[in-house]
Amino acid sequence: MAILQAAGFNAVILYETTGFKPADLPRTPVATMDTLEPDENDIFVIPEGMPRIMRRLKDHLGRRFVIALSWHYVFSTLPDGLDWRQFNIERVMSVSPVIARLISWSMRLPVHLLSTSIDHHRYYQPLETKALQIAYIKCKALHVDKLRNLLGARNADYIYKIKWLELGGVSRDLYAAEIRRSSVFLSTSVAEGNPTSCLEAMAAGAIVAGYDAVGGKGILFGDGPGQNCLLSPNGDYVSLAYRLAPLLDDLIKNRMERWKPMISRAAQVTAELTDDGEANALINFWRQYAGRQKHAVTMESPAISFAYALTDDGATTTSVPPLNGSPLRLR
Amino acid sequence: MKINKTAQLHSAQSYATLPQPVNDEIFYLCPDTEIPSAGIRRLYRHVDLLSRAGFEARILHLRSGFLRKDLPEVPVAYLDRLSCRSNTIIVIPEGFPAIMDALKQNPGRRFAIALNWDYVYKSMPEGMNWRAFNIERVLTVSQGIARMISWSMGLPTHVLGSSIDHRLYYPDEAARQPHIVFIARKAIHADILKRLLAARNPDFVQRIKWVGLRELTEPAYAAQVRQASIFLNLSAAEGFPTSCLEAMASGTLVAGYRSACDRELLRHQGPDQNCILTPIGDYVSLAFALEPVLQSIISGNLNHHRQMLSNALNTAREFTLEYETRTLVAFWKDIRANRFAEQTMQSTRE
Repeated sequence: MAILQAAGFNAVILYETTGFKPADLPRTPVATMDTLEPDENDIFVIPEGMPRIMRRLKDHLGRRFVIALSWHYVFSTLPDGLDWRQFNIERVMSVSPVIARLISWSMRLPVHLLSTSIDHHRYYQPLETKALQIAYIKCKALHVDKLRNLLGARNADYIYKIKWLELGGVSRDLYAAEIRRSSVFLSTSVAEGNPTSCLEAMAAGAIVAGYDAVGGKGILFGDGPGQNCLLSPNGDYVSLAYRLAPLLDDLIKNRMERWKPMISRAAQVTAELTDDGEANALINFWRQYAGRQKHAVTMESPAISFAYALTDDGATTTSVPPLNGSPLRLR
Repeated sequence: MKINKTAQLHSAQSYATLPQPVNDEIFYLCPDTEIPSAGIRRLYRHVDLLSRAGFEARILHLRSGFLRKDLPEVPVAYLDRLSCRSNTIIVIPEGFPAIMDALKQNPGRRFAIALNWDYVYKSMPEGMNWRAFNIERVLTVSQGIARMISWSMGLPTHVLGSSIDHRLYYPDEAARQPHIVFIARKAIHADILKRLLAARNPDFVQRIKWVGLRELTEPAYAAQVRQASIFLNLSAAEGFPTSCLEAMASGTLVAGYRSACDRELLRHQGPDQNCILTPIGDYVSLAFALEPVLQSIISGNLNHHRQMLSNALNTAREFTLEYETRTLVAFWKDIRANRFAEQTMQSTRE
């Protein structure tokens, strides 16, 4: 939103109902669907998990884009026998090559791959020594208990000498500080879009271990010369334990030399994910596609609306672009 | 449950030096559930085969009176009436650490049987493992599970043979239909996969019938599997892949999620490929991989997939009742003859 406004676009967040105010997001211009009077200049950008909203808006004036950030929400929320084409969706924005291929393959809609960024002010390699700590996000810790039990049976030091830190409900600053302190970041979610939390951990010098969660394909590499993390196939925490054990042995014995190339390659991956890169890609996209129609987007006419609402399962889904260049992610 | 508190306690190690009874009493603990389960069928089958081979073996249900009438008639005992003796061996399934704990100081010996890799640490209290419950050794039917147990707990493991019923599962090309079947209770993503494939090509759901299998007798289930063109295995944590082997034996193409410990049987690439697998939960890649098969089914020409189906038939062919019986009886004869005494005394951890 901030990028678009700074570039002269008229963009607003569109809530489903009046009065909804998320507590932890930046102030942005807002509109609500219940008072909306769309015209043909408007473009609605609807998150992938909201087919109900797509259906509601499908015959309105204006154009409809989808922003797809989670591959799993795409078909898990669609009614049988329908897809976005029936909702008059014109094109799709995404930041994930996996999602782009999925949409293009299945619905044959035009998909535009945008860039993403991470907050390098928060996620950087600290000068001080890392703690004997494995961090993981509570809501993404699908197999952590089983993995911990398995590793603990192999060697009790793995769970008693190393701190396993579950992160949930903490501020973004505190979260980032713990990631910077951690030696390992564990990600055992099996369904992620762009693996932002893994990329943040990589930027912070933590070794990422877990599953690629499908969305991490092409970004997270668990083998080969480009290895930048420890991966096992989705759901296979047994193989993950085998892969983690040598790392944990070295952590406990403070002999991390052989892991430094992997840490370095991971940092290189994240170095490319800058604010400028994200802003340029986003602006280029909108310059090309917002002006494609007869009526160009102007400052006088609210033109680009980002739908924002609660999904059916209660999880918050947002397509808010970053205010200060850092991704806004709800944990 | 009666527990003889005055009886002498024996650690796993101490048995190697004890005089062995002539006839062990073997009890396979079995949960009191009516759910159709390949694991429970296997427990009953072990007892059946052992009884026929002259062993004193029984199924051990938890509460008096419970019995699976749909499974072979075998000797049954009940845990709530059991009195353990020094020649008692209780075989406890992997998902019951609480019962292992309750029995850990009883007279007799305790083995675990691990048929599902995911249950082992799912149900384990933190900081515990089977060594703490005086489990002496572990029976399994999978090299992958054996490796996991051995790696993590350092217990001796024994990989036994397995079988499928080739009288029920055999190729019947005359009956083949453009059907995709899946076990409904295990198919976590069947609906989503179907929607995704329908978006790609509506024929994939309109000209191919998707059948969720539920509450069928085994003969009725087997008939559905034999008829189908594809058996979809979408379980998030499959133990030994019995249902996949049954489908393979039926000439039905197996597709689905790759589980953690079935690598030696289910091969998804190379010249020995016998099925189509993607990582657990990755129904996107599965849809991509299924598309050419679905097109072949619609066109009625599966020639492109004959090699895979042939490899699958060869894989399943080895799993005969004779093979299972031979390995099972050999194991228990070795136990009876105390041939593992030395192994009991030492860790086999890698």
